[in-house]
Amino acid sequence: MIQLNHVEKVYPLKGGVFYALRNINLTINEGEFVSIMGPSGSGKSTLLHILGLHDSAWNGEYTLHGQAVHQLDKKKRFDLQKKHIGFVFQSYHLLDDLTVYENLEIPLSYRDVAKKERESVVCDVLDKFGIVAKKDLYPSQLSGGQQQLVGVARALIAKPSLILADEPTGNLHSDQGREIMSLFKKLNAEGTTIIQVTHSEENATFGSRTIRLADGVMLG
Amino acid sequence: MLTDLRFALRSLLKSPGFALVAVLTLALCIGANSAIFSVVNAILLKPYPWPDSDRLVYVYNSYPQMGLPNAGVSIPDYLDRRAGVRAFADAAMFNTMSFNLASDAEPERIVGLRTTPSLFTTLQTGAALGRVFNDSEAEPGHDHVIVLSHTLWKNRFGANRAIIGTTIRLNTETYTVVGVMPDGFYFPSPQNQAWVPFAFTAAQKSDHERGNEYSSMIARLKPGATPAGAQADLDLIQARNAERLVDEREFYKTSGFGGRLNGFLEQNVAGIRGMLWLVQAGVAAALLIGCANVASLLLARAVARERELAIRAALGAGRAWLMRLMLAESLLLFLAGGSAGLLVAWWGVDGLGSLGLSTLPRAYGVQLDFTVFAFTLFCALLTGLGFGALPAWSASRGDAAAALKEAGTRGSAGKRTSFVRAALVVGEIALAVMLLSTAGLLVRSFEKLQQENPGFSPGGVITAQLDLPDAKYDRDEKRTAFADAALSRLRALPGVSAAGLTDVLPFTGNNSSGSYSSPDIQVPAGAPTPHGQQRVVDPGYFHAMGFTLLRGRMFTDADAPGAQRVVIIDRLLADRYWPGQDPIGKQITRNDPKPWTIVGVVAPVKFQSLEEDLKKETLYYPYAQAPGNRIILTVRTTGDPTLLAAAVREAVHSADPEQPIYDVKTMQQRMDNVSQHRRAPMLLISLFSGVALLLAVLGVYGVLAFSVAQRTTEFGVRLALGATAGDIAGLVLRQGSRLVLIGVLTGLAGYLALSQIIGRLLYGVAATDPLTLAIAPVVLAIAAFAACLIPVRRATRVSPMVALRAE
Repeated sequence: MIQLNHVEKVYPLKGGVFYALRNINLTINEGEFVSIMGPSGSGKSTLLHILGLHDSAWNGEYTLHGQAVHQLDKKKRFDLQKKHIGFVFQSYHLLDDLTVYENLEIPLSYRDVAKKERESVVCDVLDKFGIVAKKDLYPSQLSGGQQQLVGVARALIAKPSLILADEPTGNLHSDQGREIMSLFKKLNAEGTTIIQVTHSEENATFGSRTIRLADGVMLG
Repeated sequence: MLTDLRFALRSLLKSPGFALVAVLTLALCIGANSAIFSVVNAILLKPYPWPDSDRLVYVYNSYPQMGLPNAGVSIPDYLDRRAGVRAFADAAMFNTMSFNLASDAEPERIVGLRTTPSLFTTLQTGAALGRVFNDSEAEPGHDHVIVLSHTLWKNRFGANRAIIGTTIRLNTETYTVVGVMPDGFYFPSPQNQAWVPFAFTAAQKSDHERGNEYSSMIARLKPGATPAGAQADLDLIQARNAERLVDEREFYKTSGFGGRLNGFLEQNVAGIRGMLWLVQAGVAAALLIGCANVASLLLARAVARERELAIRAALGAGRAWLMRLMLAESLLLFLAGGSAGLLVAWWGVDGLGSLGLSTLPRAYGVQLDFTVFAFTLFCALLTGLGFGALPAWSASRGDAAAALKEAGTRGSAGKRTSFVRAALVVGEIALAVMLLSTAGLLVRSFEKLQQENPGFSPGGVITAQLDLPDAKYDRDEKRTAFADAALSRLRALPGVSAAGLTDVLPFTGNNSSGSYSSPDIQVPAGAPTPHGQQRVVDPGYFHAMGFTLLRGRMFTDADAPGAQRVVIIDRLLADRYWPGQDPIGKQITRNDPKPWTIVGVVAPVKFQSLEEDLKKETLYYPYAQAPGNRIILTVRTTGDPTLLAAAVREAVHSADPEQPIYDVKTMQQRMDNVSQHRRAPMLLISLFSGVALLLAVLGVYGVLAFSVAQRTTEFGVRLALGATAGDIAGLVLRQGSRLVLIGVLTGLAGYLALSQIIGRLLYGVAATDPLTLAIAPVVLAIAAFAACLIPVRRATRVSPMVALRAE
């Protein structure tokens, strides 16, 4: 599903260049649940953003679902991202002025899904995540755990094959964190590939593989 | 408080860019308000320099049914009213005179006033040196005494205190100086530099003098007396006269004749009051817009300082303390803006003069005095407290814990203030739309006015006034000889195609009118006696001014003193009394039974202004057959008429070296001057609406730019969720469009609510003219759209990676 060959991310600095990522070679197969770990500044989030196609300023080769990302123009990368990738953020990043329902609807509307279909998909997801009762609430009316639940639901709503999660439990207390990780485990079991960045060894145990980074270099 | 101000000053100095922009914006807006207020104050608000000047009234005759609502008064009218109106404490009668002050060099013309001695008691002002007139000096033969203005005494006579009792030569006659008025005294305007007694002969005091209404009258109301009480006595006097003067009774009845009164200030400024208040309102709107922008900047600053304020709160600062800190900053800014505004006003007052406001009545008093200074301080304090309170209130009610936790992300203050900032921008747009709509209509109104045909061709015509002294030019032959000599010299000048003279020139504010009759006119019972404007002109006048002859002929040199008396009428007279008939050969009589035969019909011309409704007929008599001492020369040239000014002076000087001329202006300048009461406000409102547009657009930009900065993370999330750049641009544009739409609709509603008032100030265009009203929102929408582009561009360039990393 994902193949990275000699991927490097370099920042030019005054005294020379800084390697945020150096010679990353990585294969991730469909259905895997991979955890990326490492100390702060090791390049975890940078790698996640490259995988998520947010970052295009890097060197090397990246193949996603058989498509050579490094050869795609901006528009095609964007289309690829929309089709395959969902994001979960540490700070949930729900849109404050939209209700739970509307937050879930947003990714669908960006994919030109017809209104009727959107309604049906959102209702399914609300039901699946057990948050029907919260659909008219605003993010500020939810607990952190509930907000992240919505964040995960939103990441999944467009049926991506890959979920990228950046410290998904970083802002949650341990019980809530475990619930989210269990949810990821369940989604992974249903066939969604998941890549998470985490500091937590416990969270990493929910995954099938752990990749460790230090100073931009993959340790194993 | 001093500590607060010190902290505030330090804080502002740390953001010099912000402080500079805010102070400059306020300086421009407050300064423009102060400059305009200096005009409004001088013209509309400041009392005249005479004690209790609000009790002075202007008394005049009125012939409403003859189309003459405002005429002068005759001597018997004045005498009747001074003695018979119980509400008058005193009254005076006067008329303007032109004095040729003898000099070794060029003869100097000064404007003076011939007045009854009661003028000074009516004004309750005495002389600073010597005395004013006594009643015995209002007797013929004892009236060659003069009171000088302080300015004339200082400039012309070197402030010589020994001048009292000495004589000076005026109009070739000798006058004894009896007094000098105090510094700052004037009546009726500072142009008047001398006063001589108005001595009535026995004949002038008789009923025969009624109808000779060449003088003005003022009166002082007794304390507690009302204009209504005075009016009742004026009506009573008129009723008694109608009873007594049997021959006049029918005329009084058909003309609606009567005495009227009006406040002295009202009489002088009523015509420009509406326009001046409109300009003041316009510049006040610009100030509000400027203040809203500064408040918006302060709100943004409050958001940026949320963390700092939260730390202060966490350290124990109470809400009141925080409010005081923020308010101190606002006050410092607004006071600095007000102080710099005084400099702008000082420059602006000069600028207003060049825009033409100096030609308005009472504009001589325009200056930056204590009242204007107090107004500026008031503006600065009021706007500082009013608009500073919003950011202060907003900043002081923040949640310290949340602010500290959010640490740089979209804080609670950002959300809280966004509505207030949006409301401020909507208000700015609404005010800008109102100003733009008003400016558009004033421009169209002025355009319409300029398209009006005055009935003559003003291009290439230069004019000059002169007053022949009675003593020297005491016979008709002398007057016509002078006129012939001056005109023949003018006609001989290279480039001069025609030269003529008249006693009343269009667009000078002067008029002369009177009743006439004709054996060929049958006045229906109950209808008023024919009454028309009277002009005396020479044969060259019609050619010099470019009048249009419709029938018959113009005057010629053959229309001499001994020849048949002839008159030229305008089409209005012909159409009124002889519709469908040829008026040539019909006869007119006035003053004496000897008739004037109509030899020509000319097209009617406008005399007072371009907006004048041509209703009143005009009769033109040949100068050779009715010569007077008041002459206005009119010279048409094929070149630039202003280059002819010196030659005109020289020609008059050749005809009489002692005769000064004054008021040398082209006809176009006169027409422009008469339009100044429309032109200057139009230019000012246009200027203010341009500033308002700019400020409102900056406001839209500010709100959107701030919003985009606040929403960076949101845009990043949306992009991460699949939004395109177009989706993000749409979000920002929709936000901007919503503000503009609400603002435009509010502005149009506000304008329509005031349209009736504005409509009264327009000419030839409706206050609700749809085309003009459509232009303002379109202009604003285009400008606002342009202002949206930078924030839109910034929003679409948000990188989800960078935005999300901000967490």
